[in-house]
Amino acid sequence: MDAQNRIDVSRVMADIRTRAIAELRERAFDRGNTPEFADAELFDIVERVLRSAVDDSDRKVLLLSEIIAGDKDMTLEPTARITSHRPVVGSFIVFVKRRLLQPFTRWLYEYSMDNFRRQAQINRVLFAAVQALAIETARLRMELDAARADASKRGSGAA
Amino acid sequence: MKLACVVQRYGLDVVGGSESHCRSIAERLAVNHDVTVLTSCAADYLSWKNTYPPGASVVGRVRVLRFPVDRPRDTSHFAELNNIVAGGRATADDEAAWFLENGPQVPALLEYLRAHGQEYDRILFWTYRYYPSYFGVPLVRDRAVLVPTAEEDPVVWLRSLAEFFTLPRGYVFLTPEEAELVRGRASGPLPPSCVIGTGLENPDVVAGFSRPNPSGPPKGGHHVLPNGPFVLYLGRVDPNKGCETLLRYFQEFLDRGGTQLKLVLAGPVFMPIPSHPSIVSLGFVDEQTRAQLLDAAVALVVPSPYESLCIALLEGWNHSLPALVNGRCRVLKGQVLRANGGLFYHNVTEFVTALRDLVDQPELSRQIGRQGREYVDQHYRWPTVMQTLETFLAG
Repeated sequence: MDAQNRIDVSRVMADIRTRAIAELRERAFDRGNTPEFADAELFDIVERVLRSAVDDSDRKVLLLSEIIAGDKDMTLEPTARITSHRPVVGSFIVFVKRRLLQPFTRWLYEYSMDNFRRQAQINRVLFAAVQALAIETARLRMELDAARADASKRGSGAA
Repeated sequence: MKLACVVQRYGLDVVGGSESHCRSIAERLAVNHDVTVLTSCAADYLSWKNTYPPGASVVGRVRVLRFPVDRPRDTSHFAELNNIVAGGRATADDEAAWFLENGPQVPALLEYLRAHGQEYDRILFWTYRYYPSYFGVPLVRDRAVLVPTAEEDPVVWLRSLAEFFTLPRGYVFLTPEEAELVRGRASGPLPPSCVIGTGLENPDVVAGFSRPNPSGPPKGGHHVLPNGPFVLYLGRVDPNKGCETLLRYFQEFLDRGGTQLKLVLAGPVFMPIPSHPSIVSLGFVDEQTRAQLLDAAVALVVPSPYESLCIALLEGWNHSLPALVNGRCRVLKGQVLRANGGLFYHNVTEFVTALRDLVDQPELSRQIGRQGREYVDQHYRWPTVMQTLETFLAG
């Protein structure tokens, strides 16, 4: 194949991404309803922070999830674990629930499971976004503190 | 070498990614080695109902030993376990129960491995997620070679897999991304491995290996190709394959001033498809129609979020067709970047922009398709694949 004609897909994608972000900004600007997005540089930063939060959110250990882990009130428990605490007739009750009752409510179960799954996914993305923003805030705070300390050192030196 | 291939189902009429991969490899290994396939009597992967007779038989060039399924899958219990696993809340007991219920439960196969495993030089296991591999690998770990076919789905995050992934003597991966995924999940260093992908026949060459039984899968008949330009989706039309998102994105493409482009879905349908003049669903298509579609399409679109290797993508490239793939799937994005054979998207705006480019710039499209074909020629022809595998197994 002629090396001169060879197309580097990552270059094409960089161009597509630039155009896609410009189009996205136009839509997000929303005829002035989010005036901050008139600033292309600001929009780029916002988009980058949010995208990095969303990308790989499945793979990240999310601090917020870890902090609230074990808190029953904040844990989605969509799956009905079919059990019984009765020692003798328990297995019979489980059998009745699983074989006779569950098939009748299957459609509702599947419908709600699907939505619970989506909700769990949205929660995960939101946790990831909060984490990304918290990191940004912490980083800015550290820079600000360092700048203040620097300024006060310079001020006392001058005095 | 004396080799065994362990797989959940096996047969000419068994259609499935890992099963087909196992059969293709087993038959080619059998040219130079003594190969026995160890499998269940099941043909259906949902119920694992015994269909084939137990015992020895010959399929193509390969000796097959089938073991009866002890208990068919309890689908409602499995669905319950699946939901727990998908929610990331599985306990160790839930995980063990999941692997047991996922089946096919073939304790006699495990007994055979215990009694006769040492007679084989290497035992290749396909797909970590099924009972024969999950419970079989630990019994013969000193000679076990796992072909995990791992995807980034919730199952791969099960805690018990961290140790399991350190057990085999070696790994055969389908892509570098799959290798990275398993490496990241294992609790210790991985044993030696190779990446083989799969082999494709040059469209003009007639293969000498067994083909799926013509009386097995349903026939699609001869379909008339749609008029005008179209993008093609090949495979099961299923929400799990990203098809819901694809349909939404494609309609958005049309709404944002898309051309007269059509979306053609070629594969069995497992979800409602909106009635739209630009969306054409053909259902299952035969091989001839499939080849015609691949030759006539503008691009192949692959929206799947989870893949260990996308054979449809390679098939598209085999026909010099550029691809548009879901960039959130590492395997797809990695393949496209390595091949320079397609574009990818992370959201609807990127989808629309990339598709527009492929449609409006035919020279760009053609060149990207040619690059895909060149990549297949270099890496995915059977002689190349088998040479890599043979060298690895001999090591």
